[in-house]
Amino acid sequence: MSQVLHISGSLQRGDFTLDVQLDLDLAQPLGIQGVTGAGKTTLLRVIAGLEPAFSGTVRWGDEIWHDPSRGVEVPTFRRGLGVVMQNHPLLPDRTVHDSLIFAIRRGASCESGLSLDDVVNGLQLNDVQSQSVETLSGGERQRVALAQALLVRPRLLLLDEPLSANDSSRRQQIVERLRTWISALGLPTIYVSHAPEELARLSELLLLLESGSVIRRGDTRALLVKGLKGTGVDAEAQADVGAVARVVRRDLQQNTVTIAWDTTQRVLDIDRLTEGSQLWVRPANTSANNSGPLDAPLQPESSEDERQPAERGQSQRLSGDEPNE
Amino acid sequence: MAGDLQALWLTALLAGVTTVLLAPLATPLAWWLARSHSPIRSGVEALVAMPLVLPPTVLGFYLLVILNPESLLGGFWVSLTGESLTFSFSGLVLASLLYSLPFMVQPLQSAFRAVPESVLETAACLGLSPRDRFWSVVLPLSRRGFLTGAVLTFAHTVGEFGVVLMMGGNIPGETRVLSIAIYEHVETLNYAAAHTLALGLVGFSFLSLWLVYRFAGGRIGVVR
Repeated sequence: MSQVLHISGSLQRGDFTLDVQLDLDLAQPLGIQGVTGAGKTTLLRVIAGLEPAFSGTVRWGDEIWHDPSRGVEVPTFRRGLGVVMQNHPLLPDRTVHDSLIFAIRRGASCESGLSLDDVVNGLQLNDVQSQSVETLSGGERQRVALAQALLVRPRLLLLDEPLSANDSSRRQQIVERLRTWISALGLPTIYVSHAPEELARLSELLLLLESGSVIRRGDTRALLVKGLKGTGVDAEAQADVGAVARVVRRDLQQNTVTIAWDTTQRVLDIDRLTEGSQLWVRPANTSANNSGPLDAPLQPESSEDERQPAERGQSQRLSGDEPNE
Repeated sequence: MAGDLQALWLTALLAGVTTVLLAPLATPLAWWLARSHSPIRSGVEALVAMPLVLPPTVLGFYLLVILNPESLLGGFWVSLTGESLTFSFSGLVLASLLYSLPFMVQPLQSAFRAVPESVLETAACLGLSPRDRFWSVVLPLSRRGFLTGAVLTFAHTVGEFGVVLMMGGNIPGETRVLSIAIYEHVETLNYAAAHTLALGLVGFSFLSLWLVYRFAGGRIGVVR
């Protein structure tokens, strides 16, 4: 069956409008990136059937999921989805184990898929299995939601920042596991994230959203660098995905700015940066490959400056230990 | 005394039957009121709340008019069951269902309204059909609403007087409930017997309300 997801139409929400024309071939996992308020979550909600007011069509292969002009609306529960949404709570009054069993029972009856043990081990949920979902930490909750999304044996996996509350080393391990599962099952996946390193590991193609529209679309690694730099593609940088640095201090006397990424701090000339600007850095001594472990700090979800296009123009790539002054 | 015991039993039976019947009847109505954006919703809401403000005698009077064996509805019931809906126990049950409707609907409605949309979305994303969502998610989350609704309905039906008097009369074993029995004791100046029953009802009312506040977090949700 064809794995093309067609979404065309628009959704008005106050002064925000999502307006898309997309044919997405999900034979390769797709990543979606964009600043807060760009419409990433809304787009995912349209695909999941949680936005009945969407005026336009949604098709999965040759199934029409949403087409008001023909009066067609396949309800969410019949779309065969595995979904992790940021603002979706877990179903209350259950232990983790019961929640997972609940998902398995509600899932499609096909045999293929991951076993409970695979998922529990892979998502590091062994220790919390007998706990009530109310007692879990944010990161644990996300992993239970992700486990449920996988255990319902979905035809299409929709993940919206599914690991944002987990610490970086765990996130890396789970991203690797998820990557293995997705490719082993050939599971069509859409992965929304702010974290470039997660997108780089999990997706081949990337959509960049801004103000409800797709502004760029293409190879994930190339786009990540290009998108964050805001300038032309650097051939060397294309092959690599590094870390995001943040401005931590401005010193007006010295006219300097201190930026930090990982455990490193660098001092730069102030004219180049303003508070909250983002930089794209990679270690100079690492050869250009993307298979090594990635240990980059996450961009926080709500950096005010992310909203300002002018700031992004000032973002730049630095070559590791020798800041590109 | 034997008559009073009979009245006690009849009252408990009436309140019990009313509660058991009203819970499933009120549930879909309360769900619709909690979730619908229909323009007729506020009208339906007002209708449901009417028994709260109408004098029970008004309700009883119209029920007497509509349900008496000479009327269309009452006549149909007689031809169906051979029993009148006025001055009978089944008539009282019907009247109590209407009279106590808001006491069941309103707590359920606020309980259903308190179920976050996001929880329902989670359930839909897990593949739960609307019916499955209701049974596996909404009902467990609305336990307190059901407890409140059941206790209030039971207690309110026990306290029914005007409606019963209008359309039930005072037939021992059929329509002579506690409140009617008290009224009769007072009429016949048998204050001692009236005291026994009245004090019993005071205690019972307190106990029911205490139960609601203790176990349902005090969220009664009835506008009175």
